[in-house]
Amino acid sequence: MLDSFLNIKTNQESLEYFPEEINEKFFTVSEITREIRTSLEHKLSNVCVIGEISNVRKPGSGHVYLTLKDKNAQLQAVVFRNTASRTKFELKDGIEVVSFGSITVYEPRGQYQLIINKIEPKGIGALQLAFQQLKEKLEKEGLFDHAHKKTIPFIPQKIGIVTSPTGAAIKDILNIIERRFANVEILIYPVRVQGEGAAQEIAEAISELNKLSDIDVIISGRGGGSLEDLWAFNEEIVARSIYNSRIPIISAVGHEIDVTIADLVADKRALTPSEAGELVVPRKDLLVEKIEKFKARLLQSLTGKLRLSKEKLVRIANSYAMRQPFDRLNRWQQKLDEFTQRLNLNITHALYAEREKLSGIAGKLESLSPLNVLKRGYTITTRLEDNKSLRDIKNLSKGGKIKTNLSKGSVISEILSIEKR
Amino acid sequence: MKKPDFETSLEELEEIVGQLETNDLTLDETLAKYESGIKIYRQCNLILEKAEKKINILLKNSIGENRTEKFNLKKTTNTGSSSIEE
Repeated sequence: MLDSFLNIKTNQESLEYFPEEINEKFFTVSEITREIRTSLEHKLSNVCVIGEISNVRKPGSGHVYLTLKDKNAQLQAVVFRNTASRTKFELKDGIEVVSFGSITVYEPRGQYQLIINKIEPKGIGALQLAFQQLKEKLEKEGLFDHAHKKTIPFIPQKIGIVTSPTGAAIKDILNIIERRFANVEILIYPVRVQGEGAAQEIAEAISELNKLSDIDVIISGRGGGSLEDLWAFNEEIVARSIYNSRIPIISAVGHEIDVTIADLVADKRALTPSEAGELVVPRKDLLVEKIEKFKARLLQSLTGKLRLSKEKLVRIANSYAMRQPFDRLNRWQQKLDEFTQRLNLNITHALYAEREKLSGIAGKLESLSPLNVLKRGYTITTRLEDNKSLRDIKNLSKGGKIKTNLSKGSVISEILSIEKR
Repeated sequence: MKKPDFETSLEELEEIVGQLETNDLTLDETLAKYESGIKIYRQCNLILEKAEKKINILLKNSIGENRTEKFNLKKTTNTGSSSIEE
């Protein structure tokens, strides 16, 4: 059929000179076009064409129109919406492709074109190319920028986990968290992590968790697998939801070698789900140990200081100076009063509250109180008019009244004479 | 930031312990430092113990409303999520 069509074409020029040689019937344009279409479509269905993409057009319909070319020829081609949405990498000018499809003729314009059912980059996997393309694009947009990365809280109170509830990843993550910091709240947002629609579910889960007010950090991920298995984590929709998340995200996809787009956008990348468990909570036992050590040191310093102070007081109380005239006695008594007061007060507040058994020290201090000094026969003398304790004879005059405080009661006396020493 | 976080508190605590141990404080200062040290210690403890252990899974009912349920690793959940990994 095709041959005869070509023959007719070559003979066309001679048509008017040798009309009698045309023994076949006359065609209308429609008829000949249909004839062409039938023969082309019959012969050239299911072909595989290698060429370079050029002149890509993407109107709103979702269909993609392009031209395949090589050094010497061009071929119009179309990728209908369904096929286009299944094509992972972006159809761009300059990419060498292997396309599978059928030749059809578009009768209204008398044009033939290749309808592409499947298109693959040449020499590289479609997913690999798609990965590279998206990585390049998002990198340019700044989605991987360090400045955008949020800090993972040191001790989260509530962790959101976006993964499959039946996969290996959730098991690993929960095990590690349980071991490191068991008392933490976890909310699992179950999603499919592979297959059609998985990316949409993951992206939606992340944005849904962002609507909750009490999630401190999100882990999103899955166990290892083939590039196809992990693909959802290389999809733009997931990348964008991670980027837009207000809550910091730890990405944990597969094994160390599998870097995904999600890993690159996330605030932190865990090499495995288990590592995500390690990154998300600290080891509680170590922290407890640390603060208990600090507490012990606090107490040690305080008791040390109290012991020193007490010893000093005892030394002073027993010293020669204590048997000296009243001015020194009064001074030390005042100091003692002050210390005793402060110690009692603080011991009540700080020590008793902490249930530390320091009350013994308070008891011992009691024995040093001014009352006991009075019991030993010392007295404190004050001026009656203003109740000021007396340290010397200044401001005293004959006839003035003074009050002598003894262990049990006091005496008011009038000054008969003042003797200077 | 509303409350000091654990790391900041821990740093403060360490500093106070250090000051107390240099031992050139008055008794008054010692007591004051001790008190604020214990306060921070309590805060740290609170942060460590605040959260309760709880593992829930979020489920959607037929009209798309969320509810949570205690998560059990062994049990297969009825979310319709049937992913197969490895």
